[in-house]
Amino acid sequence: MFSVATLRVSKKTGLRIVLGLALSYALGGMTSSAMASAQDGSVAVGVNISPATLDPTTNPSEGIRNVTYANIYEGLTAVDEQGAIHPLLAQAWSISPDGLHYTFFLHPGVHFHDGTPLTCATVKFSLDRARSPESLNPQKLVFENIQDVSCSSDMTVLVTLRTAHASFLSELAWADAVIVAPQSASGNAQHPIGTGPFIFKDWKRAESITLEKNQAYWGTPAKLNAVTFRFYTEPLAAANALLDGQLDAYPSFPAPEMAARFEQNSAFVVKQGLAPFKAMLALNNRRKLFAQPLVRQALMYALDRAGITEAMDIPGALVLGSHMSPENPNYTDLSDVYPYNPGKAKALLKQVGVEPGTRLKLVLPPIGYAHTTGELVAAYLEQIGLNVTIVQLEWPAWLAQVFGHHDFDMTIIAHTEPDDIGIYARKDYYFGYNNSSFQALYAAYEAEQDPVKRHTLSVQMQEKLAHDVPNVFLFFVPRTNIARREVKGLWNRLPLPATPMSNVFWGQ
Amino acid sequence: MQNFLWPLRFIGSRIVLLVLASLIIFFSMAFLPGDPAEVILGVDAQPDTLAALHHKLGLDQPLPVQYWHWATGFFQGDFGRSYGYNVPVWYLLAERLQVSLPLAGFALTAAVALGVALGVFTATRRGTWLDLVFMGGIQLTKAVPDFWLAMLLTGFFSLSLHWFPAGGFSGWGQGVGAALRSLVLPAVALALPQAAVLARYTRSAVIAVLEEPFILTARAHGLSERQVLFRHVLPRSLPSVLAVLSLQIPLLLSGTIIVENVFNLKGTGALLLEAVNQRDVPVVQACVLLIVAVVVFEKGLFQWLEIRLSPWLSSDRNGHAA
Repeated sequence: MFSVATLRVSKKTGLRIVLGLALSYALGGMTSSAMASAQDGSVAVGVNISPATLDPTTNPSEGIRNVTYANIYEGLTAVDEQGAIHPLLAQAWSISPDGLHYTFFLHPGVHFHDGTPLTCATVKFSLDRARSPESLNPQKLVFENIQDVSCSSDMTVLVTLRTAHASFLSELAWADAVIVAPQSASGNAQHPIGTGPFIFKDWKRAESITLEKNQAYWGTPAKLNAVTFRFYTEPLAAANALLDGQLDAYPSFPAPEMAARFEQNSAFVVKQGLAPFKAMLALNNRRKLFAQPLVRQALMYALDRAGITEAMDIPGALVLGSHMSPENPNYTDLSDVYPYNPGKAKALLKQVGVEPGTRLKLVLPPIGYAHTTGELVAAYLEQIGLNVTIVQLEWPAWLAQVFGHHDFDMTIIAHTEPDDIGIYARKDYYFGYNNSSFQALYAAYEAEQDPVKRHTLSVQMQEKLAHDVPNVFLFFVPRTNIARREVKGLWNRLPLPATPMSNVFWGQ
Repeated sequence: MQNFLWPLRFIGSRIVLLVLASLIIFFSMAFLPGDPAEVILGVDAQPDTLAALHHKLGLDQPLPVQYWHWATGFFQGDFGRSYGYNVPVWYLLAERLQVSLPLAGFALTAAVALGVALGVFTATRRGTWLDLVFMGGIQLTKAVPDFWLAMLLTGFFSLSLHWFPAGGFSGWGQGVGAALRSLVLPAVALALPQAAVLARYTRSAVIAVLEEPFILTARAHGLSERQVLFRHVLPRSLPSVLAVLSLQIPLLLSGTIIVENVFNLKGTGALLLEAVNQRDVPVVQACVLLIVAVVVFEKGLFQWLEIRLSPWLSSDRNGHAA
């Protein structure tokens, strides 16, 4: 999954926002609408991507996850701000030594918003639905590895996997794996019903969604009475809504280069937060040219990635050296494996016999960072004698060409999935990396349950990718979290796309 | 006889036009690269998941069959189901028109009132310093892009003065006053550039009529300037003003997309843009046909009005307007 609208940085937008903000005077204290929200215990949150439906088990949209995950829906396990896995609907579990048999003990007394009790049958229904042939689950691969789900009692679920997969517990915490009830599952796309601390109340499509506190919540109840998520497609409108008091918080502000304006305003607090973000120049490893590791390494030497990262003009941006970003506990800094050295890049190309003037097509999706970075990448590659043509595509065309038909040489995209290094073990994936030693490492990592050994294996996978460069890893940028000073309890670090609201409250 | 057949011919030819438009939209969407199921399921989707969704959406059927299903549904009042939203298209349209219709109506009224008034005012004061000042202002307004105007308006009237909300639509549920208040700035941003164009055309039309000999005759008969203006000049210049207005209405419809974005209003413009980007064919069909229908019938209405208001034309043009 990639975020299309996570970051829209363009010179024009930036200018528009400067103009917009220059016109507004710094607001001291709370505006009347913010004060009203504080009094009735509600918070209005700005979100970039408006969901089209509200069922995360049939649609990968980040917008759905931002609204529903951990607020409306809950999974067997939960993830905390640091990425650690905790019990949720399953209050405990045990795993067989071979890693194939999981026994989950369900939390007693859990009810869905319509009163349906949570039992093993509900869990079995959810997992079977996700792995069935008709399943539209975005992470079907995870569920297809389930061989069988059975109930040894009303509250005990037995899950048998086909092959050991130690990431299973953390994958069960993803929004794709939330537990839904048989009676309400088919209606969830329009009227979501889960077990979470908030109840769906109202939806004005493309405009806002309102959730209300679940008074009968089985766990620690939410501190707020209501949350409204509002959707913004234009960064200027988002900035205005914050200044105007229509919004109390914007956890992934779409124009981070403008954050400084809010930092100077005492009514707001601006934070840089970590969330999965791996921007890269993806290479089509199926192409004869990029099937050669030396050519891929030459590209790494050819790009001044520190300069490209700086050009993003976002505080906290980092050069990446492998397919992992710093929110992940296993992250290792490998940005220095191939430092900028155009001379060496040229020498490598010569060694392999790549003719100067070789033509390459750089296909770009319609995302701000891809555009900015694409121009720079093309310029650097031309300096080592490659002839780069940039092709701008709109989103569906880009998806069809790059993902559907693998018809590209290079593209620029940021992967925003949590913990997704496994995509390099998928031979049929769009960049077509097929490396048996990486596949062996990944298999060992998933077969291993010991956290210390898993960490070592994860670092080895990162190192393998950093040296072999299936894709040219570019940069990480943090999220910009802007909130009114009095709004407390928002997650700043996000191991996965979500806006958990149950601990948010109005403070001083 | 001709008079009796005219409405039938008019409506019939417009329906043929709509059918042609729907064919063009459907097949051009079909030949655009991109697959709605791919857009919905994203890049981790596996081939079997995509096939399951294709089947669910009916995309596994041949194109002519898909079109036939859509077209037969359409003529029974069923606009189809949105691929992305998975709700009936009419439902989405109804939701969005609650914003777009009042906005367009508001903007149109403001543009006409302001444009015509300014046009007449400056025409009757041709060459005076007032005329110069207003014409300068009109030229300036015409040159200002509407999104920039929208930004100026929000910066000043919302963020500094707090007279109007900076964006969004409060919805009719919160009271008509609040709803109208949230439409004032976007309507002004839409209306001002159009009013400027209208003012210029009105001014030239009024001046042209003022120079005609029959005005001299009217004055010679001792009519006051006011009587001359309202009895002779305005009725005579109205048809050419209407002709310009009929060209502006489509612009008001398309202009809303940019202004809607700046004010974070979710109208039909935003819906259409989103639907094209998602390859949500049923929604694109409905939105474009709506715009085509509005334009086609609005043009017809204006032609008819023009003829009715121009008795000096009716003898040779009535009955041939379609």
